[in-house]
Amino acid sequence: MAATRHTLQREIFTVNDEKILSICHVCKAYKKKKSSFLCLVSATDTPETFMVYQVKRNNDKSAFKKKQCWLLSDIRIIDGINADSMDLELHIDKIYKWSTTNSQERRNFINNLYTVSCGLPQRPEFKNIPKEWLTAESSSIVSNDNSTMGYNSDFLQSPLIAGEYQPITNKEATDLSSLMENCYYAVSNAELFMDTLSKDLSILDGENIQSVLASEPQVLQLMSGIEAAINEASLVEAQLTVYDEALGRIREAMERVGQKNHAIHIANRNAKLLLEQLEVVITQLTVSNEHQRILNEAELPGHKNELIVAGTELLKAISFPLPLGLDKLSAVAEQKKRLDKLRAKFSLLVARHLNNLFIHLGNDIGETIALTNTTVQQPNVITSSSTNQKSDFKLSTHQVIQKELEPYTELMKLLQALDQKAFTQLTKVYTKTMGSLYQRNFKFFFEEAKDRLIIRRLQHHQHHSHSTSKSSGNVAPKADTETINSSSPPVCLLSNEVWSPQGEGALLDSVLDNVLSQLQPVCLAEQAFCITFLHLDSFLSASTKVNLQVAKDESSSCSSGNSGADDIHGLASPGSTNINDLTKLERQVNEQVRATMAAIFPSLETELNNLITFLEKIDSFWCMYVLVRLSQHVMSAQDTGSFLSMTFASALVQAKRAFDKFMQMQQQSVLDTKINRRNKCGILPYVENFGLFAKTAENIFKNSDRKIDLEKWYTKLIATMFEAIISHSTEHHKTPPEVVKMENFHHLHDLLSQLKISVLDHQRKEAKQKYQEALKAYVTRYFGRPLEKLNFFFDGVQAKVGAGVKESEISYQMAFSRQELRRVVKEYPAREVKKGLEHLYRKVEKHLCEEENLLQVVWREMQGEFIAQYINIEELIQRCYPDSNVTLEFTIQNILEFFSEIALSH
Amino acid sequence: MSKKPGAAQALHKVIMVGSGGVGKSALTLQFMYDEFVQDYEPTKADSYRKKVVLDGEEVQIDILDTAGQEDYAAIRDNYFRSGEGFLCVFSITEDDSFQATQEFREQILRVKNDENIPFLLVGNKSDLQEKRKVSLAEAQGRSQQWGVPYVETSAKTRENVDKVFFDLMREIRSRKIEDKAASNGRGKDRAKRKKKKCIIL
Repeated sequence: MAATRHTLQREIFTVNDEKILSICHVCKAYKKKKSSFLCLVSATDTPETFMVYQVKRNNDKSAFKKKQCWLLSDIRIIDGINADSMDLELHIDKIYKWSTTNSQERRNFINNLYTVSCGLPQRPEFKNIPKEWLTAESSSIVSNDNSTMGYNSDFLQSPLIAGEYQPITNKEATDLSSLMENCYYAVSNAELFMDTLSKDLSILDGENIQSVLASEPQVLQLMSGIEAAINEASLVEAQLTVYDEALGRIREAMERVGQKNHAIHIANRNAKLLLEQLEVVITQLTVSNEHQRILNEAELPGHKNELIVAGTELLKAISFPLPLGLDKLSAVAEQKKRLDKLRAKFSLLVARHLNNLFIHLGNDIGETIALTNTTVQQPNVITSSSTNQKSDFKLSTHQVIQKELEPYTELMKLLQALDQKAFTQLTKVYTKTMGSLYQRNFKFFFEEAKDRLIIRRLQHHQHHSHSTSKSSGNVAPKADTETINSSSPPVCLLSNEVWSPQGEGALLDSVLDNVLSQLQPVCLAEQAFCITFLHLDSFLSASTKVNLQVAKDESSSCSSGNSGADDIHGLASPGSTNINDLTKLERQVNEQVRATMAAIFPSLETELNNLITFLEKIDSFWCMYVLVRLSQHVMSAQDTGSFLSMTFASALVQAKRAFDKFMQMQQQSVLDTKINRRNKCGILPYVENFGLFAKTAENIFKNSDRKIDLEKWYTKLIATMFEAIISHSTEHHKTPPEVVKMENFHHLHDLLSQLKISVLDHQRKEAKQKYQEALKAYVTRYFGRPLEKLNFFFDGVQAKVGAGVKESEISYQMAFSRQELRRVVKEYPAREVKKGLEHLYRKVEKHLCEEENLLQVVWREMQGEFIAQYINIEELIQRCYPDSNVTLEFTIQNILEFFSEIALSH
Repeated sequence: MSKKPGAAQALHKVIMVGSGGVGKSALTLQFMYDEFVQDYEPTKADSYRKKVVLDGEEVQIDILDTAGQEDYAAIRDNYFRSGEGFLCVFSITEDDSFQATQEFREQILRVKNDENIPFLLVGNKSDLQEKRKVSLAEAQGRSQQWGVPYVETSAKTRENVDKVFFDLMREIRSRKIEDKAASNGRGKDRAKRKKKKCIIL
């Protein structure tokens, strides 16, 4: 290959001052015969120009010939097809396909092409060529670049070139130049320089031979030294083998000793651990003698604190988690048995004592409370007629009981941990006794609340003899209740003729408020006490079983309340929505608390409902007071999920229902109103009463967040009234419907303007509009009367004109001829007109009622309409009968005079 | 309880007169409902009734709010006739309305045929001092000439609104007492009105 290269260089390229950088033997693809060479060439004078030549061998196989030539920068793509192929494609003006004969050569050639093209501004694209071909070389270029040689085409030479061309190194160059400098004469006298050089050479040769001869004895000496060293080394080796053997034996012995040592260690540790374990078990399971004695002999009220300590010890011993298997030890089992005995003793002692205590407290304190209640009550009844009204009645609290029981909280806790069964039994006893105690308390409490209301009522009804109410004791109020029941007034309805006075609202409200705000602390205190005393917050699955039954009852009553709340959005929701937020566990605890509370306060809900029903009989606005007051209590309660809140909420649902029923009754009464049989219809009772009704309601609902319920009903009521006014307007035998509508809507508008209820603003405007419509309808219906025939005639004229008859031709129509006109006009002389007007005025006066005072308004409207009519007729005469010389027999002046005369005559 | 005595309650009939747009309805609405209506809508005629406490006595006031613009003055005759006292209103920002009071006064006197009819000259819109066209002295001069009180009001700020109605009611009341005392002898007019009341009831 190198030969070919040389030949090529010499024969073709040297002539043109060009230098081969790389060649590659190729043949046209698929035509093996036609072989040629691709040469990468650089011009020597302009080193930046690189050419690629295709050189062909002539037929005689001796001479080479350039066939084609391209600038490297003209090559667009160099395609290697793939790494293993021998093909090579050059995309220049067209695609040239060659296949190379030698893959190494191909690689080198491509590599050189790439390297050279790196310096070009416009480089060919290398396709399908393995990266390392392109990068490996370029990295070596970089390193070459560092060696200050600059850009030189020589270094591009691939291994092919490298073998025969070796540039002199720097060092050689400097040596050479220093040599040349020393012999400055060399240039001028080359012969002398040659002599000098050859002389130097022969001297150097001689010295070289001498030094070679001199080194022989030294080499011999070195050889013998090495021999001695080898002998020494083999001696040392033998010695080492001996040592090694000895050491091997020692190690075996050592290993055996180590194993023994380890076994001893383990045995030691095991013994220690066992000892520790035993010690722990024994100390944990033993209850000290002192404590045992206490547990055996303690008597409760006195030894409370000691018992607590001993119990705690016992609990600790019993609940100590024994390591697995240890409980099979007979000593442990025996100890356990002993502990169980102690536990039984403890629980028996505590349970019996507390059981007695509960029952005792339930009976004794209950009795005293009942006693104080009656003693407090009696003076109340007796002095009721005088000043005692304001003093608040009290619901007795259970603070005494709770204080008494509080010291046992710790014992209860121990009992719960030690003897679940006894604990639940105790809980049941507690709830039962407290339940009946509270039931009694509530009964007195609510009875008292009712008395308050009745006494006031009796004072109101002076005809009731005082003596009946004064007969003391608990029986009297009951009797009163019955009399009240029988004499309770009917509910105030909007349709009533006379609105009954509302004096008792404030009292009712204050009693209710008092009841609710007293219930709250008592219930909450009891709840808080139960949670700590009965440990409801410590969640225990066993205890839930007991309460489950109660919880079921409670939840069923709750769900019935909730189902009722569906129609009243948001009443019971404060409880239920918040519960959703709680975690499941908390909810369960809450449920447990609620269940317990429900067992303790079994009568609360019924008592509350009874009271609410009772209020109904006192005041017909009762449901509004209850709704407002109760919802205020429910909303302000912080503990929304508590038993009390739930109870209040369900009572609230009842109240809301009653309120809706009350309003519904009002609505119905509006529809059922009977029209009076008097001469004038006047203002309908429900329109009249609505003012006071709304004022009362506004007063009750002032600042309440339930106002929206009221407002909903307002709009419903007003809408009903609108309908009712219209339907009732036709029912009166004398008053025309327009007047009924006009007067009632006028009144309603006036009422709504005074009340300024914002939700009714639209209805206010509507009422005004309806009033004006009715006024207009009334006026149009009656104003025509005094000129009936004239109006009829000109209505006809107007119709004809409207149908397309020319105004000037009206007089040729039979029915509207001049004669006809004259006839009609003659029928209304001034005297007649005045009579008609006077008659009309009297009629209007008869229709309208005094209260609404609309006579002047209506009359003014009628005057205006009459004049407008007159002018209209005059105009029509002017236009349709221009030359007839017919005019009405009265003038505007006449009309105005009539008006004045009518005015003066009243 | 309150209705039957209500029949015996005194009833005072007040008529609002004056040119269009001087604020008769505004004064009335302010007195009735404590509200000030900004947008102007000409009144034809409207009637209001309210219970008020006049010097410790519960009375009813009937207010007839009338149209300022009326094509024929005679139309007013009838309600002038029904009135017991008059608030003659003009706007202090409009001289024409002040001049028009003269005409109203004359018509009222003619219809009522009574020089001493309870009557108040009211200069409304006193909150618009910077637009004042009718001087205080001018208005007072006219009221003195007529022998009636003059009061400046603002329906917007409620200044003197209650005062004019209550002052007028007091005049009406004292006038009625006078009449009663005098009616022992003569009093055709009185008898007639009483008769009319009987018809209504």
